[in-house]
Amino acid sequence: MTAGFDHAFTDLFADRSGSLYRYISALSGDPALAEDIVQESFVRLYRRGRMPDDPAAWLVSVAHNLWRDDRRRDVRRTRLLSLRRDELPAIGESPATDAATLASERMQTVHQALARLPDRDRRLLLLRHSGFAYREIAQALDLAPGSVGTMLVRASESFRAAFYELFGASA
Amino acid sequence: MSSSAHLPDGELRAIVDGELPAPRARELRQHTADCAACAARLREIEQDAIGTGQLLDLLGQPASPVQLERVLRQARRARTWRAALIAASVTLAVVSVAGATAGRPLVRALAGRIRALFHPATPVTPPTTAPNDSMGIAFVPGIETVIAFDSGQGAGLLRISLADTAELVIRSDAAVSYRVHAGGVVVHNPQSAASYDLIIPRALPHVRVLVGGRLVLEKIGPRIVTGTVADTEPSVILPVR
Repeated sequence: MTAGFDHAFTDLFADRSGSLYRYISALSGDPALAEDIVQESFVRLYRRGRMPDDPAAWLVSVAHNLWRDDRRRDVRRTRLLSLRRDELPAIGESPATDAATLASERMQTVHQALARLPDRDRRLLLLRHSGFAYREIAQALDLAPGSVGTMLVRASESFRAAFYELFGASA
Repeated sequence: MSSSAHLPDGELRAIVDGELPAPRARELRQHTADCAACAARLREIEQDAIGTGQLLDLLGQPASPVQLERVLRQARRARTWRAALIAASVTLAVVSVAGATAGRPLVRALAGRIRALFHPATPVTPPTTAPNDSMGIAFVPGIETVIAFDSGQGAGLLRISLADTAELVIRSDAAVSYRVHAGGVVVHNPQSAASYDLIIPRALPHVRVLVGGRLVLEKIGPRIVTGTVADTEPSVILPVR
């Protein structure tokens, strides 16, 4: 392992671990799982011993594969999480303040609106929101770099339309 | 570009996101200045991007709890064990032969090498974060620059201004650590309540300011975007949170 690699790795970690964590956390809805996945992704990169052509895209691909493997492997936990979501107190029954209730309701609606999108659009929006560049997004999602902007416009419009439809329906 | 051809949505969105090379962005900006339809569509796409960002912000912008030291420890431990297992297998075979021919001294030496693999004498290299407690830092940035504050603060302001200089300058009223790298600078500020003056070279085409991983300000060409406001004012003040 060269000092150059160590230095590049440290820089990459400083620049990208936060955005990768936020991306996986938003995608999975499970911060503890996101922490494990981000840690494992960087461990794998370090063991690789050399930087890929596009390190950020490489990390996103590895992290996404780890998340997908985890979902496949642990169906039981997914069910438990669903159950917990169902057991959340209904709006109006919560002892929380109106503002907190509204914020919670809006956050749940964001999750629901994201869930309505095709997987690729959901990942596209979350990657961009987490701070990834078009080039990195294109490589991670196997898209033509020139199509990222167009797809972001469509995904963004679909997401907001879904949000306001759902939020309007629940208000 | 023909003035009658309207710009595609993808390029308009790329302008909003600061994802176009500066010459192309200038060319498209010129077009939107002359074409009311494209200007209107650009505003629409910009509003949509901002609105989407605000909704996604509701999911929270948690700081990553993953620590570099932990990653390095785990990666190096795994590598040491793997190397040790391979080396031990090979060495065991050699020892078997050597033990029969050269006697105990050589066997002891080889056993020592095996032990060294499991307990390396070289200490683990600390991360090269090069902390440099200082009241400020100045450097010549690249064309794509990220200024990343490690975390949000309970108190403290970030005063941002543009200047006709070559150097990017950050000054703080308390000692924090800075680490300059190829893509910008990381300000290590956990538990700090410092305020900062950030002077950005006006000519710099694209600068992003992140606090705890969250984008709080973006300079795209002459424009400064702060989430909800886009303007060309010479200075902006934001809380560091």
